[in-house]
Amino acid sequence: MSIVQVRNLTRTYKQGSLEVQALRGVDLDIEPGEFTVLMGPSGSGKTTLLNQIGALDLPDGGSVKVEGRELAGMSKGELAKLRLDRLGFVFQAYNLVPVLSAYENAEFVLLLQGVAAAERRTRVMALLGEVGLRGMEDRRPTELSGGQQQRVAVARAIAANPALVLADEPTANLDSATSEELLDTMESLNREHGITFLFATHDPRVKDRARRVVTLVDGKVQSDERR
Amino acid sequence: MLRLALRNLLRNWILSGICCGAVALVLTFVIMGNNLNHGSYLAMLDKGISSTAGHVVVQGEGWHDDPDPLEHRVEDADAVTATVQGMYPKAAVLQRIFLGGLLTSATNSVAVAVTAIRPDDERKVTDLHENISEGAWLEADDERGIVLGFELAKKLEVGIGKKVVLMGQGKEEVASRLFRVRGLLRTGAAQADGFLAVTTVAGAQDFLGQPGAASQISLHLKDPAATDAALASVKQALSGRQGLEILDWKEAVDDLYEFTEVDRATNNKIMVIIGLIGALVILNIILMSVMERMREFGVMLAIGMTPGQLRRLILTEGLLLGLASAVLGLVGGSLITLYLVKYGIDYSQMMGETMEMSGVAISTHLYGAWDTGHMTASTIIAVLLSVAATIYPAWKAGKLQPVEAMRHV
Repeated sequence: MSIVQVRNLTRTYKQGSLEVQALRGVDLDIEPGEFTVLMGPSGSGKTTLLNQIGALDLPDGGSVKVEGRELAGMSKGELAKLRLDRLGFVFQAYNLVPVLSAYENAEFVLLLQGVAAAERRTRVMALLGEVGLRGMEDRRPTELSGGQQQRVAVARAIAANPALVLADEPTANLDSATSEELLDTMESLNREHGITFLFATHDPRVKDRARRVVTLVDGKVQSDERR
Repeated sequence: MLRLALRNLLRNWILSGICCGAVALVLTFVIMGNNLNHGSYLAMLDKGISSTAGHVVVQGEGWHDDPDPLEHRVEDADAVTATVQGMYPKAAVLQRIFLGGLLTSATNSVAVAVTAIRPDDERKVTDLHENISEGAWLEADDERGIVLGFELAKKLEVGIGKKVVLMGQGKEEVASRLFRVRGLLRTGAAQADGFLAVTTVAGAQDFLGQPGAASQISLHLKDPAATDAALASVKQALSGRQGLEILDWKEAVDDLYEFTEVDRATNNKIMVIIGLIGALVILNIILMSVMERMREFGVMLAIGMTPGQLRRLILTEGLLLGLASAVLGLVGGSLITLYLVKYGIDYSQMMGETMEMSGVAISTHLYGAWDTGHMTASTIIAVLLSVAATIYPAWKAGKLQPVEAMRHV
């Protein structure tokens, strides 16, 4: 079964008196274990589509199913639970909680899930090791570089063993070498643990590593290329 | 959740500090103000109880509603006094007669309120004898002696050793009796200084033609908390006697008691308003802090925090802030109360030695008293108001859409 099933998805924003059609009937399936990149020029609807799949925003028309569950009609609480248990997020601006340490940021979703303290510790320490942050557990976000912060965000995104990680321009604020290192980590998580990644990006480095590239233009899927 | 809430508060410690300080300050002033008022009420009640009644009083039936010494009296006052004194040998048991009349000197006549007492017993309870500004206090066997308020003496144009005649309704017809002025009183209360005359019970009994009778037998306890038990015991002991009314101090000085209760209620209302202003300060600060963290809340919602959990986080911040403020306020209020209980505040430079409240003259050197019930209630209310002030910001945060919130910069 597809992890994500998008059918005839539309989303229109109002900007003053102007109506912007961000998505104009998108169809897309994401299968387990994929490493997919959404490409397209600015304003093509990449982030909007990612937000729709991530249950962060609701569509005007069409349908989004995550693991077979239709998002429309779910309550705020149900959507939050779905995001917590089945989806992970990596944002361009890292978006870590500034008052929590690297360890506590990664632990946060497990706390929300009610995972026992001992298990949380084991899992978070293993995760931070995996993303290359061993020894930096106690640092606050302000004490970490951009790349390190994004690694904490990746650890947080995969801490709850989600079905899908959505990454919106994860390398946009990073230099070239740091981007490559981060992508190495994500690729290895994909290959070794079968974690499914869906990126929205302009970055050709991400595109080069993708095994599937979906190109959006003017809110529609223009091409869907598997490698 | 608790850890995150605490760190959120500490992150913006200046804002949290202002908020915490404001609430703590309000609570400190509420506790301090109330404990000072409480001390004044206790002083006032103590004065009222000791000078016009007792913790338990035995009076002629109907005296409370119609204080007419000819109509309502305790017959055989000595026997009643002995019974009550026998039950409470260490407490003071007083006999008093209250009556009205016209006091006449060679030049003037003034309507007066006469309190007839047994001078030696009265000393144990009231400080009237200490307020003698001229002359001397009454001797126990002085049936002709009278002590006048100094303003009254001025109106009568009499001094120490001068004669005055008390006229009033006697048992059968108009009665009159000659007294000699022994001393002048300066209490600070206009009512007492201008219209009070004090004589002995024996003199008043003779004037009224009621030997052995008194208006009131009053029991003055060392521990006012024992009033209820004493009331029951005295009622039991005197149950065989007819024509008596036996009251506790709340009934006996009900006007004064009600005055303190009404005043207390008014002060409480003012304190509630001050509390609400404090709550508005917190509301404003928490709201600012929530608006500042919109983006962060958006992220938390995005990664799976439910709106309910987010609301609880913000309410927890309010609770922590409230608890910290309450502890600080309670400590501050208690420290000031400690000082007020020990040293008090002396207003005598501004207001003279005494001031009159509800007809009772109390010292202008006011002392505080611990009103622990009120302190507990104020502290709990401070915490509850702090939490209540975060309800709106919490509700607002719970309504956030993750995507919109994350767009906030």
